[in-house]
Amino acid sequence: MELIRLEMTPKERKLAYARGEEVDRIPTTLSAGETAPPLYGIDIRDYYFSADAMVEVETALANDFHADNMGMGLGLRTLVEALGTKLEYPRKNVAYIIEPALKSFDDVENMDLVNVEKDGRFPIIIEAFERLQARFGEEWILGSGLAGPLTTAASLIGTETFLKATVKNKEGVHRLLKYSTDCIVKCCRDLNRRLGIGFALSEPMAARNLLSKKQFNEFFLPYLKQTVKRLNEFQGSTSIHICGNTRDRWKEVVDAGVSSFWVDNCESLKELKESYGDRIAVSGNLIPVEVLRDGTAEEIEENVRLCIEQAGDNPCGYNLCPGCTTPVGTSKENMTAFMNAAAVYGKGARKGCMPRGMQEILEKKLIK
Amino acid sequence: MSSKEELLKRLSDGVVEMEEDDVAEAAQEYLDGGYPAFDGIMEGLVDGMNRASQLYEEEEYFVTDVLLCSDAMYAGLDILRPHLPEVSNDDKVTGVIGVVEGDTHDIGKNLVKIMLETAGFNMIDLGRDVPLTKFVETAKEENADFVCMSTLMTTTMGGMKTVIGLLEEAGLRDKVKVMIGGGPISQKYADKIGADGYSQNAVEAVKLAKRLLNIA
Repeated sequence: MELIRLEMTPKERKLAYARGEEVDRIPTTLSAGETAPPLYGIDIRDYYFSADAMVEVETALANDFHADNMGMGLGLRTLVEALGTKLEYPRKNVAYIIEPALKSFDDVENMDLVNVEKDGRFPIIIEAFERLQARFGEEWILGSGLAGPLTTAASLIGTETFLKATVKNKEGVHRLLKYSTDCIVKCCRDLNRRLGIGFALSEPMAARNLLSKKQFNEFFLPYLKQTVKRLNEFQGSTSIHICGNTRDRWKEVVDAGVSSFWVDNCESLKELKESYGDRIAVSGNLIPVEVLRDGTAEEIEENVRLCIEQAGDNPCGYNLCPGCTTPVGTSKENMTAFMNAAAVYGKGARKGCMPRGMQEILEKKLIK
Repeated sequence: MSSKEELLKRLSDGVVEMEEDDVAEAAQEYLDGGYPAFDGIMEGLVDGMNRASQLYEEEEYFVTDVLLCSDAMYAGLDILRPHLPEVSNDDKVTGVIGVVEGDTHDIGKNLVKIMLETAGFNMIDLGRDVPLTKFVETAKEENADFVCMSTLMTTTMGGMKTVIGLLEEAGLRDKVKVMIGGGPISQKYADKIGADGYSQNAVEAVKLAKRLLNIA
């Protein structure tokens, strides 16, 4: 399958769409990053430690798919690794936590804030961003994302320990969350100054699957609000992704001041649009495993159509993307099918209006 | 001195209310009163954990609550278990459980283990980041009736299929039921790789195990 080539650069598209003008395709992003190296014959482990490999993968993704995003994500683990959490790096798979940085909540007292100039893999990532910025800065708006305060705090002490402490050691939990918030803000601010990029937040820990609404309100919301406010001081707006069930806490997330909400495929884009689309942009939520990785081109096309039908006319804008990270093992063919379906159904998109592509397809079908 | 019934209620309530220290204290008083450990476990601790499971199913309780209830249950078990009459595990249905290699997210697995143990299964917990061959070796050594695998990551779910293949190679597939679960897992995926069942949460996992193994 050949990629449908478009006229606008991702940067032109993003800026025009934000201004309320019509663009050639609905903004579309692929959340591939650390799962993409195998597509280009690179071991994931090598990718983590090589600016050359990062630049190579991002360049190849840009050429092959022309999605609107570019830039290595910091993911859920780069920051906590830099703060001392130990990770395992399998050769062909994504890294995972083997030992949290902190043994007890009191250890926070002795921790320094992160230094992106020297800690963990940050220097490698900075180098790769500088090279990408020089090469693609005219055509793309580069950006990144990282775990928010809750997920960061849990990864510093261990998730189970963290959850139990929300009952048994509230004060310790708040201290750790405050420290996590400060590290995130410092990390993003320092990288923003150096590279001119903005950051999105990911909070898989904040879903109903793990956290009750009461815990969410007590231990997450104050820190989300604070993080968004402080990030906005230098990057203007901040978006969020939460995996899992979130419906019972949409209002709180929106009230926290995020600009855009990327929801899991278990949630309805239509309901999110109808409830809060006049206040936030909506992102999502193609089914990652069963459709994007394992589905046929037709199934991908149908899922793209459904996503756009649900949220393509969101008043504050819509961004088409998978419901979570693009899974390892997703073929180039399937990613091309996704981008092409976006180009066809999302053709002629303008904030608040259903893309003209949807109407054209409908008319074609009626004529047939 | 409290009566047996009073102490059983205290054990059960202590589990539901996550009072680890009080459960340990009540368990000791219960033993000191000369009451049988087995009843204390089943009608006290397990009864409390079953009530906690029910509350979890009704979404009154969340993950954190179940973890704390189970801490309380295990605190009581540590005291009562040494006083059980010697019985072999032979009559018990045995399951092997773990998070597949390459993943250390184990809260879901822990919840499933807790609920299956509470339901009377003998569970052998291999922990997290478990080498795939370990599932098969353990199932063979322990003469297990079923294997439960979990992962939260799309990158490691392929390991479940490998384990099913290894069980076949070892000639165990007909004897061992395979249950899978975790964030990216679905019934469709279970069907695709030839697992016997998928469940969405820990409460469903118990129902699934009972169904697969024909236990009422």
